[in-house]
Amino acid sequence: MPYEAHIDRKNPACFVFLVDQSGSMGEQCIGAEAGVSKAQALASRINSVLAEIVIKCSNDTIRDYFHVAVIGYGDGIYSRFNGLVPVSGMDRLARVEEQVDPVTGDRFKARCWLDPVAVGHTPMCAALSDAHKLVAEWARTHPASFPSIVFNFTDGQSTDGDPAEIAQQLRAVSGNDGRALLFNGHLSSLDSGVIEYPVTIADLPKDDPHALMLFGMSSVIPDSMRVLAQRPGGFQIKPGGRGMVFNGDYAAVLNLLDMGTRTQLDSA
Amino acid sequence: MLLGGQASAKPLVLQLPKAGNTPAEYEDAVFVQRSLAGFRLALADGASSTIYARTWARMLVCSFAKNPFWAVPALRVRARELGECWRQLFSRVALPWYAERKMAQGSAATLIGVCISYSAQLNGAGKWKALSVGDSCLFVMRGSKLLQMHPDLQPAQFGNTPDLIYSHHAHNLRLAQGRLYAEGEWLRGDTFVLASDALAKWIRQDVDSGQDGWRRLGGLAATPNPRHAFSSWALQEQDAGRLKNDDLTLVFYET
Repeated sequence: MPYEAHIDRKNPACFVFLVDQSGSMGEQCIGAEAGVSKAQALASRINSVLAEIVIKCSNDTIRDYFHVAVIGYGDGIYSRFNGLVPVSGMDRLARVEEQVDPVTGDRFKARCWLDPVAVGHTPMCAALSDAHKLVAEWARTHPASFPSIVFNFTDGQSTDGDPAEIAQQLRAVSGNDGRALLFNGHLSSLDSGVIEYPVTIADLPKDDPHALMLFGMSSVIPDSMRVLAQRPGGFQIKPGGRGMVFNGDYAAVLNLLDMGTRTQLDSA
Repeated sequence: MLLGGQASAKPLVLQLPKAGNTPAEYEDAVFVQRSLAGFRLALADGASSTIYARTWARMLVCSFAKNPFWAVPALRVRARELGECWRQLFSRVALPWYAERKMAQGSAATLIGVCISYSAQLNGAGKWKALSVGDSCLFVMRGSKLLQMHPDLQPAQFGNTPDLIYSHHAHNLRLAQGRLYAEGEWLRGDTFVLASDALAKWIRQDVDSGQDGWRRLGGLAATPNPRHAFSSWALQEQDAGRLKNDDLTLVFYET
């Protein structure tokens, strides 16, 4: 059965995070605190997830169960780690920032890897192309590993062409345990009804070519991940549901991120 | 075999770290204690997601074998005492930030502990009792027949979230008595097998299929180089997809 490979140091798994850093990401994030932009909300959450990956992979030392890449796209393409790095390497690249817990008021030292940037256009095709190269090389060198999981977070449409073909090429990258997975999270500036994990195009807003395009770009969530995600307190995802959030608010897009990472972290 | 009311056979132990890990990263623990009355066997599997799990597992098996406990209230008291010792052991160690977060969460392990005693009344036989928390298991075999498995887990029930004994007292409050304790009688020639989860799942599947392959494990322990023999066997089974890559620990005692 595909998508059941065990994750360990012999067969590590791979996450790639593609982050839209275009000018519009500077707008207010629906569902976040007032004054918090989409770029800030997303960067904050991705930094939290990266820190969680480090903690999950560690006891007194870090075990490289995962390799990670973070690629921003806006005013150019920015690969935070210059490709994929093991978790131990990623930890060494963190910036330490003192923050205040909004609930307790306690000060703590947060690890930060991704800065909130909102400049330029949306070269999504170029970002997907870079991700495709990483994922293809990873599959070649780690054929027995769980397939790569690529997250693409955006608030708009690609400005450097139609991303459908490159997305299809990325999702066609194959190892022994199945094909690479591409999950798309669309952050909206309007409160217009969130679409989460659609099964068919009938679940999408009518006559919305953007939604249709993202649907076509998004992988079906494998049953092994879907079952893990639906543990008590988890998510409700119908069989055949795609890893896609459209017109998402802060919570919905972050849930997609949690769904795709937590299932793997808990499996390691 | 037991002779004259005294245990003369020795339990055999096989241990192998997870492929890709160093021996220092092996997080199972075993303790075998012999007495005039029989044997106390304990096996613990440290949760690799927790910190210093190897130390916690060793503390549990040592404590159980020296002074067994059979009920949840006693388990909680013991775990609380051991947890305090565990924290004291590492209180002065300078840790990186991720390890400090882990220390706050504490350590955890599964445990299977067994007391096998000879009974003068039963003439070459005896009684056993066992405590289990999690998915490290006891198999009591008579010939090729599985008399009892404790806990009685189907292969599909071996997962990533077994019950655990925690070094933090609060986490042990959820443990339930109903699944912890088992007891029985044994006859000369019966075999007791303790195994950590990956191996326990393999044994269960083997027994269910009637293959009798589990007997070979005892034979591996009796070879001139048991570690090498066990490693070869494990690699073969893992390559065939029949055995999960994990720390592997077995105690094999044929009475």
